[in-house]
Amino acid sequence: MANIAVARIKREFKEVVKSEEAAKCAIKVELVDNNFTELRGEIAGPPDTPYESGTFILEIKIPETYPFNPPKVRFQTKIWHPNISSVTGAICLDILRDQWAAAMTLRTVLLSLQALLAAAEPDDPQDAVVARQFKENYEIYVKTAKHWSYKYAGAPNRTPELDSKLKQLADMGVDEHRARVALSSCDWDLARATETIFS
Amino acid sequence: MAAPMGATHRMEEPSTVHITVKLGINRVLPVTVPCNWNVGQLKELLHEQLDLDQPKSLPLSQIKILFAGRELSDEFIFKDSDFGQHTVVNAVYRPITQNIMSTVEEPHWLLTSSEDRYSSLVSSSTAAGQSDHGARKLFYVYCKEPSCRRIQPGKLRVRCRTCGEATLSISKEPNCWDDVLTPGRIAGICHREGCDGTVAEFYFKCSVHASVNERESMVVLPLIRPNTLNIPCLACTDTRDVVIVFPCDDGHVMCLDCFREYCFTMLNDKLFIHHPIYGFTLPCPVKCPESYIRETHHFRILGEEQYERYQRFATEGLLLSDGGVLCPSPGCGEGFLPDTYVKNITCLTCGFQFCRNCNEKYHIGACNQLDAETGSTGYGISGENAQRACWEAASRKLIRQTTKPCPKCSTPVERDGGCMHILCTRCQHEWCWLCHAPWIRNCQADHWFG
Repeated sequence: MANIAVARIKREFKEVVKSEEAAKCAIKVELVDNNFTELRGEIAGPPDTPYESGTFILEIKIPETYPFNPPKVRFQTKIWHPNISSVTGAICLDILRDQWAAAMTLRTVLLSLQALLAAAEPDDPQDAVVARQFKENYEIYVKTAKHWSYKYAGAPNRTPELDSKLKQLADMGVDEHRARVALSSCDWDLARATETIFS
Repeated sequence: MAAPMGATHRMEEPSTVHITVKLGINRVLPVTVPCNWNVGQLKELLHEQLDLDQPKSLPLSQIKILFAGRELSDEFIFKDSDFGQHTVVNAVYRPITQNIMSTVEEPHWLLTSSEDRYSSLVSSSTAAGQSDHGARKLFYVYCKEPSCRRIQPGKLRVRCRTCGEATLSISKEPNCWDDVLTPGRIAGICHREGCDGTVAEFYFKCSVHASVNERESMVVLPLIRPNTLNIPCLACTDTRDVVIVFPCDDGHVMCLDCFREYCFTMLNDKLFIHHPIYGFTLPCPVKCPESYIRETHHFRILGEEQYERYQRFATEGLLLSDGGVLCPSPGCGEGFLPDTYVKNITCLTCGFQFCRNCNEKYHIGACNQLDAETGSTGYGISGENAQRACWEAASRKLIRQTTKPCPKCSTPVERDGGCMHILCTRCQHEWCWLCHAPWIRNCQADHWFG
């Protein structure tokens, strides 16, 4: 990788490790390979959100032209959020696209993603289904997001009434994740979810 | 000589200095004097030498030595100034009288500027002590001499705008870039016999090598500066000696290696913009408002090959935005501005005849009918050519399957994820992938993504 990119990433890596946020376990970054082209990021779900106390893993790929082009960042942990694809983990955040500037760093990216979890922008969505639920049925969105955080990000809050619906689909032989996606997408309406799966 | 930047002042001090003295327009007298000589001693030497072939020469007291628009005092010592080897000074006989500022010890304005940021640079480096004296390079040029071809420290010089000789003494010191870059702002008096010039003309020379042609000037790069405040580069965070300071309110700093990389990346991503006043340019990499680079010669940092590419992209972009077309023949790319109704275009350079709408070989009837035709190669084609034709047909087919042409300039566009809103990187047209038409609010409402 280009010297500039490596030099920058090394410094930014240290910046994250020594940061105040890292001390509070809010953000974290690890090396995946020795040549700094791929990193593994971690952010804690912000308090007073459905993501609270969850740990979200990010896949960070550093392009050859870093820092003049943004890092490629994707959620590895499955998450229910209007600006993050529930299927691929792709993120819709302006600073990771056309609003990227060379002065931004891994630390600012991680903090911006944490801020995105706290303040979704449903009008500029990545996941249309989640965005619609966020706008039309906010309570169900919160419940669903909590459920996903519990299931995939290790958050402590269980959602028993959703679990029972999942179990009913599982008893019909449906794969757990597939059942979760169907129910989440149908606002936890069991009949509609069943129809989606078996139609 | 291709010495590294800023290395000149670290070279071993020579004990003598070669000075070229110009007397009038055609007489040149090269002299070699000890570095610790002063101007008075040079005058005596000149007087003696001139007496030999010009017995009736003027008295010693009437010889004046002019350098960089100022008269040098008799006490001025060569080694204390930025006199390089083969520096040219002018000797004049006319008495210098009205409108001239008092003689200074040294043309110190070469090292100063009025901008606040600059003033602080100057004062801090002065405080550092006398060891840096004469080594504070504030000006950088792009040197186009084949032996240099890079950004180098520059020297500011002044000459008479009328006769082009350095026989002009200025009436006011320049104190900002406008004084130097805008013609006609600083007045002066030309002391060359027969010239009544009253306007100063500033120009820059490369300070690394002795100039081959005295009249040759180099383009100055006002954003390149010595990093006397030790500001780290915003990209690599190293603190380097020479940096570019972007013209934004914060004055963001980048080292020259990163600046080159920035320009190269933006060029490859087609992210240069056409600014109505400054031309094909870039803003501060932090995306500060109103931070475009005004002097596009800064992009010379890309190097010869990439700078040519930069110029080509600039021209192509302008042409396409004016409704022009580019010859699609491989390796050609000649630009034209045909009338809007012309569909059949023949390239004046390579002779290729093509359809304006689909950029394929000219055809009668609707576009996109050519696949079948290229398959039937007919007769008299060698096996090699036939194979090549198949390969290109296959490649065309692949492009057609995986891309859509921009509705405005027909550049094939591949959509690799993201939303339906496409911004053509070639002609800046905003269009909808699904409708294949200009992007409108309804596209956003009905099928922004999916």
